[in-house]
Amino acid sequence: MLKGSGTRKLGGRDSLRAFQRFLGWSLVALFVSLFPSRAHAYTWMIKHGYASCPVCHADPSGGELLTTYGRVQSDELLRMRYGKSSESSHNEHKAPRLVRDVRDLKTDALSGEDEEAKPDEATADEEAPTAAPTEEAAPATSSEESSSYPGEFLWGLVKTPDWLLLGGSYRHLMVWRPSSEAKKFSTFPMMADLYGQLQFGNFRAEGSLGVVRVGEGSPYARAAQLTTNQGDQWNLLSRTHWLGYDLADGTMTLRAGHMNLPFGVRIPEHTMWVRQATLTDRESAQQDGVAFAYNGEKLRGEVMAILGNYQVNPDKYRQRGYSLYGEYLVGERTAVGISSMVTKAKQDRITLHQDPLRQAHGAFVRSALTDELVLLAEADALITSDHDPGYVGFLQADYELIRGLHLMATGEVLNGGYDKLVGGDKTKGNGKPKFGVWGTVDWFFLPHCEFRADAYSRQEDDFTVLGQLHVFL
Amino acid sequence: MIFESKSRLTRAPLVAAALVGLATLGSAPSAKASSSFPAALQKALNNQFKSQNISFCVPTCAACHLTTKGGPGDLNVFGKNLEKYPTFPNLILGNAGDVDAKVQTAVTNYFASTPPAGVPTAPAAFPEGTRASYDSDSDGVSDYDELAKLDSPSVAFPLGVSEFCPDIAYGCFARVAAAPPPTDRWGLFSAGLVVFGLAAFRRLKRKRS
Repeated sequence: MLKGSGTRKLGGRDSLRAFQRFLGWSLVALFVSLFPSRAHAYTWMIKHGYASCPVCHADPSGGELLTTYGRVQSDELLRMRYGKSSESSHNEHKAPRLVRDVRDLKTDALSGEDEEAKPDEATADEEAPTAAPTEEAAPATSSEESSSYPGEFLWGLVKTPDWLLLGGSYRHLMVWRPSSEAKKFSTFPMMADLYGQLQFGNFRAEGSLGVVRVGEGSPYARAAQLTTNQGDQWNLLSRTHWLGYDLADGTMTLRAGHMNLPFGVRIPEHTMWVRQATLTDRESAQQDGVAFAYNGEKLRGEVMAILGNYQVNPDKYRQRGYSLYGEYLVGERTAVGISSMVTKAKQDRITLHQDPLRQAHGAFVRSALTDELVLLAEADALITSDHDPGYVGFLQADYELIRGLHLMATGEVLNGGYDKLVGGDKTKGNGKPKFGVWGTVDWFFLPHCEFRADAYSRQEDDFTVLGQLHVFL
Repeated sequence: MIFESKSRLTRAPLVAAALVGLATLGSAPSAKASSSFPAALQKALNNQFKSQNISFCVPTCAACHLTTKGGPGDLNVFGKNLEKYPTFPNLILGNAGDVDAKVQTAVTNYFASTPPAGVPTAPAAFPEGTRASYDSDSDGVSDYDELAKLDSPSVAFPLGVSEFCPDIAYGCFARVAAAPPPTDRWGLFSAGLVVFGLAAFRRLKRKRS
């Protein structure tokens, strides 16, 4: 049982409203003083019985655009309730269900209701999901302040038809390096994206559009650019855009377009070594290709034929090959998986080496040890031409202290493999292992609002504190 | 009705925050998780090779790092040399202070010095005459001469040929070309939106009270 009841001490309705107003104003102040960045897949949702992703996300492997059902769950399961018993609120219309059948959930996502809230109808209507009006879709909760819009876009300001999903994500990052001899503090908008999906029957079209401005020579965001400014200017970018077709009641999806690579644990921390070294982050590592995803009751996975990133020019820098993962639910709330990726290009856009062959193969696990504690782990072997074999891995423990407030501890290791072409001495990360530790506080303080603070210490790097304000629509 | 007004009460600050947040985006600085070193290195090298009329690109982080992602501690052989010689630290890492000036000083010092014994060197054709200079990748061609040909001083010949300014470009149908100067119209526009957002929020609050 989660410990949301502890927040009752905050007081009655008046003090609750005052506190919410205070938070609202604090948010405004933060925006104004620090300037403004994304909704992500939270892989620790497995503890709520959500082992697969398409229940809450448009992408069958998770991330970014939320379904109507996902938006409701974001409000129900993620955010702090401030004096309301989140457990009772949740139970009114959603009894815990540890292993969820994706076909039911597809139905749920459209209707916004849970199978167990209407046990008699659920099985009968399984084959004919009803597109209930949004007003009906939003279940009544004990939290009166939010119950009118948890499943609607933009806190209910915009009502979308059933065939349209809209979303967005805004992240603002503050970086503090207290021990650095260089600039100690910087702040910038990391992400400002809008997402949308059209669905007509089994056919889907999804896309994202955002703006970004990075420094000249910066490795970030570039590979997702639509516009062609190469310097310190604003650029339009699109991280994902694809066409898809659902098969077998949505348990299978065939997609073509620009997509996140199916590999490993889809975590939001794009700078985590395990994502950076495998080139599978969701910041700008997406590729064009054709993918087939399967989301069954116990088994899920996706395989993608990578045809190259056509937002990177010229063609010689485009990687081609495959990427895949498969994950099996071995217990009620434990899943283990494997990943594999092989790509080839004429020139590597990361190392600039000629004719690189990149391989990454590994395994991962997600496990909810208790209602509060989730472990995520991944280990991958890195095999790159002109390099000695390397490896990368991470282990993360996520403890939900009270509903909406997560404490995380992460350890990571990287040895990218000694670069034989560049030569020189072996260094940490280049022929020798290097280690890093992260401590994180993640607070879902308002509906679709998150504040996250990370402090990390990595070998060969300054001790760094990150503050991140995240609004996801 | 009571239900709706309560809902509005909670939404107002959120909507205002979102509005103001989006507005301030326009005047936000660029995401400089990486450094401003590439542009500073371009300027420094343009000055260093001025007499030879060589025009440098803004190099990628791979000019001094193992990958185009850069990162502290991931220096390549040329980056390490530039940091270390003639006297450590020749180049203080980080973005504080006048980055252009300190990179310029580091480059000038590096090519003006005579490498100490034990460090790989090769003859370099400076305008004032040929003498020994650093050869980071030990390929028999000095860093100076490799840079003069826009070759990579950290990747041995012939693989490093033309690799200091790789032709990589981003965006749909992008081509490598000189970028236009940045515009600050966004800042003006966003400032207006901030004012509008705050005014709207204040009005909402008044209505509530």
